[in-house]
Amino acid sequence: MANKEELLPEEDRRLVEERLKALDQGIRLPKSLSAEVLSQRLTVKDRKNYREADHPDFVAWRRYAGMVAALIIVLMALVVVTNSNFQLGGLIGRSTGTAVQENAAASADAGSSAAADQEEATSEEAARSRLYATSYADISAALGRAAVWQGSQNKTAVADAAPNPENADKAQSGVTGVSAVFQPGFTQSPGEMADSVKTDGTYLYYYTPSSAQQQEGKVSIVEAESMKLVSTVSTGVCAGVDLFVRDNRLILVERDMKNVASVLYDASVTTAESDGKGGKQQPEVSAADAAKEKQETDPYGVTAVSIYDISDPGAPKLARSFLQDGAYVDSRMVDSRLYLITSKSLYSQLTQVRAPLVCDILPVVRDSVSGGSHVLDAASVAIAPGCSSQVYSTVTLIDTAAENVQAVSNAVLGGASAYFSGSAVYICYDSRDEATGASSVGIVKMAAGQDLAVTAQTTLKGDLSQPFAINRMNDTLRVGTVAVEQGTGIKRNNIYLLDGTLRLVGSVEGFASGETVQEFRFVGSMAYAVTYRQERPVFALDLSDPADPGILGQVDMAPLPKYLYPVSDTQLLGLGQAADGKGLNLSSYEVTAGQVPKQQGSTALPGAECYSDALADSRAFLYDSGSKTAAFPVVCRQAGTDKGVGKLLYWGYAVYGVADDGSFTSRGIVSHTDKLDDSYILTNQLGVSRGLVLDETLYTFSGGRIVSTGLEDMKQKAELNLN
Amino acid sequence: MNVDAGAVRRAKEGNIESFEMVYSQVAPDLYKVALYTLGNTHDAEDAVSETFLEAFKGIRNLRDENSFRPWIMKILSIRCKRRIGQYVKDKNSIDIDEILDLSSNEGDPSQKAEVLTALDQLNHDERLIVVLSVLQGYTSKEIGSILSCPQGTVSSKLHRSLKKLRAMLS
Repeated sequence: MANKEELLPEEDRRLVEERLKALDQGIRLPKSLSAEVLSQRLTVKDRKNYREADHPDFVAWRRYAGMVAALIIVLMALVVVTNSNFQLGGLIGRSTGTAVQENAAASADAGSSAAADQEEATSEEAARSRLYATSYADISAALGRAAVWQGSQNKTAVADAAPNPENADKAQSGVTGVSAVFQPGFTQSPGEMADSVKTDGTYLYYYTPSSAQQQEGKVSIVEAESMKLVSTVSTGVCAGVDLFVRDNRLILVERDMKNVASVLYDASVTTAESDGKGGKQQPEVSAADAAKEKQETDPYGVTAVSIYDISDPGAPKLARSFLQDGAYVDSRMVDSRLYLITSKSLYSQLTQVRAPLVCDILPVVRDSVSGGSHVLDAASVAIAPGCSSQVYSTVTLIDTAAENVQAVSNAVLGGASAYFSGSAVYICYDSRDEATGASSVGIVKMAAGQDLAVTAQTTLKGDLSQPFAINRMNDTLRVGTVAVEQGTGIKRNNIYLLDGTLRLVGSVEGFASGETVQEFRFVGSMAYAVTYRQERPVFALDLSDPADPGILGQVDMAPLPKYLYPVSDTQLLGLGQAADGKGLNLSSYEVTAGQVPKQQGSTALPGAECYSDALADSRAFLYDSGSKTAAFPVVCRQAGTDKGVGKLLYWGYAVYGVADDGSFTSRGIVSHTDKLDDSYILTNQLGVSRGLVLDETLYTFSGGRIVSTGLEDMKQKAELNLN
Repeated sequence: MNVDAGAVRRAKEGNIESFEMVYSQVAPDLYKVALYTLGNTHDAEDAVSETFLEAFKGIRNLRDENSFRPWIMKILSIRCKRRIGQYVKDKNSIDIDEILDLSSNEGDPSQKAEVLTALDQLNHDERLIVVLSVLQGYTSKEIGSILSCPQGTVSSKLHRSLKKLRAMLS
């Protein structure tokens, strides 16, 4: 290819350069960006970490401390051989005061410093010392307490489950489940979300699973302009793969991988080396058998990250791999930092099978940077006060731009769900008041910085009304709960507003009396509480002043659509089922602080019965601001009858233009086949699931194809068959 | 200004004063690149201060002391891209008056305004490539490494951008 730079005449190029350089003269660095001024903004911790970076002894000490601590936990764990469900009785006679203080007490101890920064730093230190385990003994004690609570709640499940790995599913049915929480109100969440389709502006990266069960999938790398397949990357056998692309790196997050337990559970984490009498004892099972057991009881219980160097997209090279114990919960990227969250439930019947190994009781990670697997040390495990479940939420930070820097992992014992705000990860868990038995929701905040330190914790009355009832705006965390009054059974709806240290700054308790809120939606500074009475009243609250939230009361508006997308600070798009529950509507809203959103435009998709994947997965919804295009997958049918579903009208990707006034123009449906046959489309994987816009071209993706369509005329430009 | 490799080495070893020195050696260029790319002083200052912090935290990972300048420029370009990505509306415009105020009194102000108006017609990526090539002197290969895109893409975008600029300048 000729050097295009030479095609611009030299004198023209010189003219452009001279004019640019003349402009450049005299532009000076402002004082605010001088080294002296910027250095003053560095925190004590930044400076300390900068200096300690060159002290490898510090890192090594922690690693050795972890190994020693692992031996201690086995000592403690052996006690449970004679008990069921990890009950440790009075063996651990320590005070757990450091682990179970309430937030109010910590606040009282936090000191009276006037400076907000110092107060916050002090509060962070207090939270850390209060929450982190000081040794594995703390963790064992917490496991014991959680087991007792679980045992009392799930007596039938425990009693009926035979001590046999084949009944693991039944045994674990009593364990609190974990849900992914990253779509508060289905609005945009901070941090980039992983997805099956990504682009870097030149290439398309697309994951497709194998059509056969239990087989590897692949990621196809396609040059967008030519629509040519450049290379593929095979993935493991897993529940699915989500991608990130960043700075010549293709990052695969392989969810719930199978067949990797033997890699993760190596000899270093399958130890049981003490007999409690000062001697050594061989583990009851070998590492291979422990891995096999993990595979059988928790076949999809490992999540993997693979990072490929795609400097040459035609020859991707594996640069780094990471395995993490636990089922996939979610992941986010901020700059080059990848945050991965998984959940590990402990096999509660294990002690009836054999003596536990360290890998049975603690999360395990494996980083190709350090080589070998290791369990998290006690200093990386925070125990959620009052936690009532034997579940770990493990959060890992991987800097994908620094391939020699080991990943950082911290875990919260008791975690049930997680919310990522961009600067913090909030782990929510079920808690209870031991005296009254009233349920509450606990929240542990982890700073999304280099060490993922726990910085705050609090407990609020009630349960999260739904996984999305938590949302952060500016520095205020908003949480919606429903509490049941002990004795009367009356339900009370609450909203709490918390500051950066999770201290309560404002609340509304017991609003919408007589109703039970099923769903909270946070839209800017407003909160909408939806109940499910026949007429579905909606209650609006103004949270613009966190210290003084206002109840606007019941508002006259149709419930907001299931999915909301912010186009700008003052406009939202909404996608949801029509009032009859069968059709599908796309609508737009004007949003003003302190007021109910005002609908601007609305359009119904043609077809009596329509559905879109975007209602369940916000990533399937596309809005391109450059071309002002909204698009989403859709399946539409004629009305069904008693004899069966209606005839398929179309199955593809609906594309709409969005005007500034909120009105819509249909541009058409992009389908990957002309054949209107459900079986044919499913068998050949031709249902469009994703789309993206690049250089005025719409690319749509199905399992079998990628199709490029001109956005101007909606005519197909090219097609690539992936099978 | 050349960057002192010895100072970079000392900065990697934990000497904060050395880090401040090497940062000072590149800061004016960082600021100008951010200014032209993002189009206003406020965002440019934010991007550069974020770059300072990120470089401070990550300098021990720098392998080659002689690559400090492109390394920190890469951090800046990522910061600029993140900022651009955060613009909810397509905020492409350059604050021409603000930048004219910063520029020296030498030269014809109307010609400077014309150049800024022409730059304003480019998108952020194009501006960044032009500034790195013409004002900072990086080759297409170096720019490709800074922006993490193929050299061919950089060359073709640079060519197109220079042609566009030339067509708009009298």
